[in-house]
Amino acid sequence: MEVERILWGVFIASLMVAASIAIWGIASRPNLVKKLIALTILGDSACLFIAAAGFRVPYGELPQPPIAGYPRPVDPLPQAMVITAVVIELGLVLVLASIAVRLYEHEGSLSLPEILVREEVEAEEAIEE
Amino acid sequence: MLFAVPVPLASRLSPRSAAPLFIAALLTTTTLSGLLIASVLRSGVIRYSLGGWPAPIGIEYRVGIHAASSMFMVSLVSLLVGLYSVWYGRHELGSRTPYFYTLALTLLSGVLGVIATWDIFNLYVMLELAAASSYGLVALRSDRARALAAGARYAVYGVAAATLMLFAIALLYYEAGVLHLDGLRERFTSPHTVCGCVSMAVLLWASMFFLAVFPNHFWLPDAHSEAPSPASAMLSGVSMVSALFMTSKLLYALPKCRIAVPVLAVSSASSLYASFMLARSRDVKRALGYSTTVNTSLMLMGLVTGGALGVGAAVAHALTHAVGKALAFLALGVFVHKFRTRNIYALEGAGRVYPLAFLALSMAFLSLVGLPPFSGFFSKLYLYYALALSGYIAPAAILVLVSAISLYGYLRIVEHLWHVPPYAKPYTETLSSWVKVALLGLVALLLILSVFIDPLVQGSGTSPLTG
Repeated sequence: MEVERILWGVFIASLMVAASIAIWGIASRPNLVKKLIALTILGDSACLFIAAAGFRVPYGELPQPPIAGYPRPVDPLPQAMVITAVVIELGLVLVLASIAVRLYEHEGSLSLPEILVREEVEAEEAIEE
Repeated sequence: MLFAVPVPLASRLSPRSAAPLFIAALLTTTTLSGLLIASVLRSGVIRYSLGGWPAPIGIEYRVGIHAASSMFMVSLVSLLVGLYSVWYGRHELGSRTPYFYTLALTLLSGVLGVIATWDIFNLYVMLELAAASSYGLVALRSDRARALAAGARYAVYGVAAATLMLFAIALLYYEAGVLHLDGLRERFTSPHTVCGCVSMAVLLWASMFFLAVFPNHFWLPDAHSEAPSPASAMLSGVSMVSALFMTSKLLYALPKCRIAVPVLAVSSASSLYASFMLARSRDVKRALGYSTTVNTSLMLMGLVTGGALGVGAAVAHALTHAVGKALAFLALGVFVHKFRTRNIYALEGAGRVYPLAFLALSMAFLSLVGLPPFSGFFSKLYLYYALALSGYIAPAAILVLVSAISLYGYLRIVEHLWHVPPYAKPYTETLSSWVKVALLGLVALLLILSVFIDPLVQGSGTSPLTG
C-alpha cells in the first residue's frame, strides 16, 4: 500500500517536472525546432496525466482493463480523451513543422527572436512586399 | 450540424469553383444559424446530445439566446468577410486563395463549436480547431518571413496555452469525474478545493492568452498585422467571440472561485496599456490589434462581475466588436493593398482615393470607441452598467478613460488618412463590387445591431450561462 502511494506520487511528480521543463524550454530556446520538441514533451506529459486520471482511486485494489466481466474496470473515458488530444497535437506539430520548413527556406535561420528583430529593423517603413 | 461545412472545401478544387463553394458554405451556415435563433426564441434553450448519449455521460450542445445570436452574428460577419475575400484573394493571395477559404471555414466551425458546446473537453477540441486554423491563417503569406515568424510564435505559445488548459481539464476530471459543465458546477460547490483552485488559475491563464489580455497579449500585434486583411478581420472579431464564450463557460463550471478582483485589476491594466500602445502605434494594422486587446480586456471585466447583466454585456460587446473590428480591418485592407504599406505616415491622404472605404472605416472606429447611434455605444454602456452596478467603480472609470485614449488613437489614423500632403494630387478610384457589398453590409449591420443589443442583454434569463 505504502509503496503504491509512493510510486503514484513519483509518477505524478515526474509528469509535473517534465511539463515544467517543457514550458521552460518553450520560453528559453530561441530555435523553433527546439520549441517544437519542448511543445511535444508538454503535450505528451499532459496526455499521460489525463490517462492517469483513469485510475481515479490510486490506492487499494488495482483497477482492471475496461473489458466487460472484470470486477473493477479502469475508466475508459480518459483513454478516449488521450486519443483525441494526441491527434490534435499531431496536427498542430505538423502546422508548426511546415512553418519551420518555410522559414528555413526563407531566412536560413530558425531563431524566432532573431527573425522578428531583423525584420523589424529592415521593415522600418512597414512596407508590404 | 453547422460545422460539417468545411469538409467539401478541403479537397483540391479547380480554381474557378473555389469561390462559389466558399460563399455557398457561408450562406448555408448563416441561414442555419438564423433558423437556430428562431428555434431558441420559440422553445427556449435547445439541448442536443451527440450520438444520443444522455447528458452527464455524453457530450451535450446547449444553445440559449446568447449562443444563438452569437452564432448567427459570427456567421453573418464571416459571410461578409468572405465576400470581401473573393476580391482580396484574386488580387493579393493568388494561388493560395483556396487554402484561405479552407482555413476560414474551419475557423468558423471551431468558433461555432466553442460557442455551442457544453462539455469541457469538447470545448478544448473545438478551441484547438479554431486555433489551428488561425495559426495557418496568420502564416498564410508564406512569402513573407515576418508573417511566418509571427505565425510560428503565435502557434508555439497557443499550443502551450491550450496544453496547459488540457492539464487543468485533467485536474478537474480527477476531482469531479465528469466533463459536463453542469456536472462540474454541481461538484465544485466549495471554493477551497486544491484541484479547483489550481485548475481555475491555469484555465484563466489560458483564457487570457486566447483573449489577448495584457500579460498574454504579446502574440497579437504581430499576428494580426501580418495576417491577410480578411483573416485579421476574422481573427480579431470572430475568434474573440469564441474566446469569450470559452471563458464564460469556464467561469460557469467553477462558480465559487473568487477571481473577480484580481482579474479586474489585470484587465484594467491591460486595457490601459493597450490603449496607449494603440495611440502611439505607427503601423495601422498593429494599432487595430492593440484595439482588439483593449476591447477584450473590457469584455473580460464585464464577464467577471458575475450575474446576468455582466455576461450579457460582455457577449453584446463581443458581437459589436466583431462587426466593428471586421469592418475596420476590411476597410484598412483596401488602403493597405493599394499603397503597399501599413505605415500611418506613408498612408497620408489615402482616404481620398476610396471615399466609401474611408467612410466605412470612420464609422467602424466610431462604433469601436462607443459613440451612438452605432451598436458599440450600447454594448459599452451595458458594460459600464454591469461594472458600476456591481460596485466596481474604478474599473468603470477606467473603461471611460480607455475609450477616450482609444478615440485619440483612432482619430489619429483617420486624420492621417484624410489629410492630403500639399504636393499630392487627390484622385478617386472605384472599389470592386465584392468589396462594396461587404463594407456596406457591415455598416448596415453596425447600425441594425443597435436595436438588438437591449433585448439581448435584458433577455439574459433564457441563456444557460447565467443559470
